[in-house]
Amino acid sequence: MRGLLARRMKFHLLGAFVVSMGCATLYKFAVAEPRKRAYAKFYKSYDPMKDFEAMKAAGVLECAPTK
Amino acid sequence: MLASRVFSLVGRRSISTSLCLRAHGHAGVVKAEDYTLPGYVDRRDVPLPEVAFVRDLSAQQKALKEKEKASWSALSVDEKVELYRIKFNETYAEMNKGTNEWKTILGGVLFFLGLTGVILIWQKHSMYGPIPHTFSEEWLSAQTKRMLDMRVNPVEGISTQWDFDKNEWKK
Repeated sequence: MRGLLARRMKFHLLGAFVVSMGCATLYKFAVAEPRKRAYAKFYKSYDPMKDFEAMKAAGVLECAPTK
Repeated sequence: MLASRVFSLVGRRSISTSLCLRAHGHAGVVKAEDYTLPGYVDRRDVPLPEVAFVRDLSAQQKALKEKEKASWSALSVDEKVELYRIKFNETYAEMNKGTNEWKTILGGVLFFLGLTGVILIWQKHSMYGPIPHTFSEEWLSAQTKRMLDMRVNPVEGISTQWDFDKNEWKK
C-alpha cells in the first residue's frame, strides 16, 4: 500500500549485493593474489636438489642420514 | 481409582471456588477478569489499540468527551491534547525514545568479564601445576631449529622469515 516492505527490501537487497561483492573482491585482492604471487616467486628460483642436500645435512631425513 | 475421583473433586473445587463465590452474588454470571477483556498496548505496529488508555473518566473528562461530540473547531489545543491523552498513553515519539539501558548492559557485561579475568588469574597463580618441559626456552629453540631444517611452510610461513645463508632471522 505504501511500499514500506518494498522500500526496505530494495535497500537491503542492494546492500546485501554490495557487501557480498565487496567482501569477495577484497578477499581476492588481499589474500588470493598475494598468495599466487608468493607461490610463483618461490617456484621461480627453487632448486629441489639443493633443498634436499640442505635437509640431509641437517639430519632431519630418516631415510637419508647425514654422511 | 476412588482416590483419583476424590482428587478431581477437590481440584475443581479449589480452582473455581473463588469465581463461584462471586458468581453467587451476581445471579450466576461470573464477572469477566481483566485479562480476558481487550487491553491497551503501546506498540509501534498497533496504531489504534482496542480500548482507550483511560478507562474510568473523571467528571471533568466526561464533560470533555461530551464537548467532543460537537464541532471539533470549538476545542482548544489543550482540550485536544487532553482528549489525546485520554485515548493514548504515550505518543509515538515517547514510545520510540531510546532508554539508557545499554549503559547498564555494557557495564554488567564488562564487570562479569573482569570477574572472570580475576578468577582465571587466581587459577593460574594458585591452582594449576607447572607447565610441560617442552615449553622451556631450550626446547623451544631446538624445536624451531628443527622446523627450519625441515623447511616447514617454505612459501609463506616460518621458513620465509629465516635467512638460510646468513643463518639468522630476516630483517
